[in-house]
Amino acid sequence: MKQKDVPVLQYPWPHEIGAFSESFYEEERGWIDKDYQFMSEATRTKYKKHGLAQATSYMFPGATSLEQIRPIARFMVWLTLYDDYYEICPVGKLAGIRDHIMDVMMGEKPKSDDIGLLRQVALSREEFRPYVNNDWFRRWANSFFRYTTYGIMEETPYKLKKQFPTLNNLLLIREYSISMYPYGDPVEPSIDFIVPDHISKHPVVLRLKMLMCRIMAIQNDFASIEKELAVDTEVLNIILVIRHQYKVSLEEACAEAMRIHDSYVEEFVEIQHNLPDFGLLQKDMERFVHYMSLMISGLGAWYHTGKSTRYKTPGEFPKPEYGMNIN
Amino acid sequence: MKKELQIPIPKYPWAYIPSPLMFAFDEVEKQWIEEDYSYLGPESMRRYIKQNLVKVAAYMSPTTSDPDMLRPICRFLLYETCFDDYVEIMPVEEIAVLRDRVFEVMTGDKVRPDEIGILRQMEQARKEWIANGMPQFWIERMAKCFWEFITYGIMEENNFKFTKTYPTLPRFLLIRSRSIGQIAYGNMIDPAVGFALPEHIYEHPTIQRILFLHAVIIAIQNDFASIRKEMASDSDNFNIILLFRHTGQLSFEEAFAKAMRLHDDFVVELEEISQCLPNFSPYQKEADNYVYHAKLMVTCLNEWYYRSGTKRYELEGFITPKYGVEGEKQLDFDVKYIRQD
Repeated sequence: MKQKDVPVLQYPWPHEIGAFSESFYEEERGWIDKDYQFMSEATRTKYKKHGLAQATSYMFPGATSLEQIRPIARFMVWLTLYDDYYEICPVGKLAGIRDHIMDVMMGEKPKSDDIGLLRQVALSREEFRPYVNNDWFRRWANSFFRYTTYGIMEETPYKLKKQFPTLNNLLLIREYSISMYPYGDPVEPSIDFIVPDHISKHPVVLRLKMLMCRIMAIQNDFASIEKELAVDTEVLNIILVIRHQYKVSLEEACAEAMRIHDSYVEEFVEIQHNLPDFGLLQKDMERFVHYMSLMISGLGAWYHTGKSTRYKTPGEFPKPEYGMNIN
Repeated sequence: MKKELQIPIPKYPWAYIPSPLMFAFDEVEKQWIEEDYSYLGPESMRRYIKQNLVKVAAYMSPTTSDPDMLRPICRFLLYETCFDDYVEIMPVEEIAVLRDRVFEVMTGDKVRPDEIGILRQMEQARKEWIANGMPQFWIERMAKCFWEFITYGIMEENNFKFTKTYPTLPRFLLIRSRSIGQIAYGNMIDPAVGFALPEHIYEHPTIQRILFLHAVIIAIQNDFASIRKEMASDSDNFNIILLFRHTGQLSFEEAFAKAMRLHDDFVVELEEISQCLPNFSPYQKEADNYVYHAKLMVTCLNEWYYRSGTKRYELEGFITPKYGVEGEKQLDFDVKYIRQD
């Protein structure tokens, strides 16, 4: 199956592209060269063509200044490279790395012998500071913890055994491993509204985030299916899981995955239009949910119209380098 | 002759086990109601005694054979149900005050002599759990879940009840899965088996999903069992069958089928997830046992509705809430429950 034959997922709302989609190429190359030296030069060269900072403006069109979107762009690059780099890291090792990163997200200074990855997340924190509060930092670090623990670490055994999870287990894991819990948190600073903690815990908000993550996981699985078909060890793509579990053709599996995706989209819209009473914050909460939805459609648009080579060009997706001697 | 409405009984791929303590608390229950629930008035007390609710606790924890372990669980079952009935149409501001006091008592505050007796039951249950060796982190988890049951379940439901509006299905499922009280009651698994599931396992999304699923399954199960009561008392916007009938213009038979399909999908998901739990070592066995008991609660509660002879859902049996009007609406049909093959 070629990427061009994969159906394009649709949303009943438009996407918007922020003003800064083309503003970061220079800076982004600088970040990669300065603080991602622990990766091989070949890999860094590939990342420079991924246009990850560009995706930030597709996903956070509400930001109104370079200063406001810079930490998000930096975090986007950071999160993607973290995800790729530690993909096959042993679970026990990753727990320590995760905890150290969380400390830095919460304000600790990186150690002098830390790899540049820690400096980049510390910089994001500094740049986020004018737009957020401590509750938000705690949420952001906690989202990162859950993404690593319930996403990356839960995927590892399936990858090592090359064994398909069942569909319902896959959905539980992909919801976290897609990384949209931590990456969704910056919606708040991008629209100058920090959701109060007690509202953040409301089941409706939690459900909207869960739907957003699951929708974006399926979106990602559609965008990367050609790449993943090329490696016969891929066991965590929803299309391949459905094909395996229900013994159907690739086309039928696509249709079923799309049906699940569309039912999540439908539920998102239904909840969006019937939010609970949030009192004085009603308007802000509506705006917040609106920008969550733009994050979904924005990334969808970026997969198809952005400049990235990440999913489109064979060989441009780097191999995980954790534990390798890169020199 | 009245028409007969045939209602299907939900079924499960899990075991039903009869409790060895089925009748152990019948007498004690009367005493609790007389001592601590007299503020409800004689008519409600009479009805509660007739309902024999503590039996639900025995049904739902059938592997527990030590009465001392079951006693505080029986108290919880009774105070949770009574609380739910009591505040059913109470203004939410008033509920919030009561809720916060309940949380304080559940986590350690002493009850004052002038407070309503239900709080003494909560205090007593806490003391018994601590005597049985349950840790403080579990006490707090249980109390927090009860707070959420009230906040995200009852209070959200009441907003719809007061405005006589129907929720959309996604909102219904979010609210109903909490208002049924089962996410809170799921905490009774730990004291029933004598092991408090460690926090990091309880917090794991797989366990959280299982708890959501077992609660929403029990909610739909309850909607099948209580349909007669809810039609007679005109509180029909939080029963899934009546919701489907109202919002989709469906016949009873179509609404039953649609609700049962949704219910059965949740059952399949719960079974699929519990077949391959994450690695929880060194507590794998305990986690497996926890999930096993969550499923037992589903099956055994279902049997309680149809085997125990409760009067809770029959005319003259059910409770009128604090601000409710006495008397039930006459219905022009009888109901008959049918087992599925």
